[in-house]
Amino acid sequence: MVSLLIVSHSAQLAAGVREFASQVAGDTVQILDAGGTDDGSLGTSINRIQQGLEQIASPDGTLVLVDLGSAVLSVEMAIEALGDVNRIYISDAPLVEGAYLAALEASAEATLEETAAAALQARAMVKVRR
Amino acid sequence: MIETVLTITNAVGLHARPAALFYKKTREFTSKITIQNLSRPDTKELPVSPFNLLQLGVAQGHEVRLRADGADEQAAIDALAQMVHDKFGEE
Repeated sequence: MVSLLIVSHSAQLAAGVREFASQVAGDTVQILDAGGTDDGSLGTSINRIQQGLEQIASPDGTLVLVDLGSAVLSVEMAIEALGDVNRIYISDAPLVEGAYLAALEASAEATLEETAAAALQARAMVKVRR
Repeated sequence: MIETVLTITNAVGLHARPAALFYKKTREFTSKITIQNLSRPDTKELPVSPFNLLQLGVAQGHEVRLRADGADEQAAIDALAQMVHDKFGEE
């Protein structure tokens, strides 16, 4: 099963998105959050991201969802530090919608490619119809 | 190709956990499976996917038409109808 890591500049935001995605996916998908800096302020922590990636490492791969582009560099550095044997993709999807779709897709035993594609569809999501 | 019309009776409709279970079930079959929300005429018949389920906005009380086309179409429709009937084990 593909795992999901939720990365945000805010620890609470990341935890909230993780809770949301976990309720969609049930217990089957490993989902963790890595938000905020090491001292809990706004930002990202390579350490926390790396620990998160280690905890949910899966032979099927991990999809990382981020809130803002500046989190991507931290994720890339964490992946590099891990030198991981498992595949890790960083999604360019909006965080909440992408996490929802990725959780649904991953829970259906989809591949990392399928999960990443499902998350990216969040960009085209229409919420308000007038 | 076979089809069936079902009324969604579980509380949250085809969202979140029920949507995940529904989608997962469709992937167990090789038949092409589509869904249309008959209670929302502005929506079209679409293949079952997480994105499409969200866009169809199927809520409690809505009628959906499922179509399956393929070798295991009958088994697919039966299994999906059963899930809807059982309210996804929600209540």
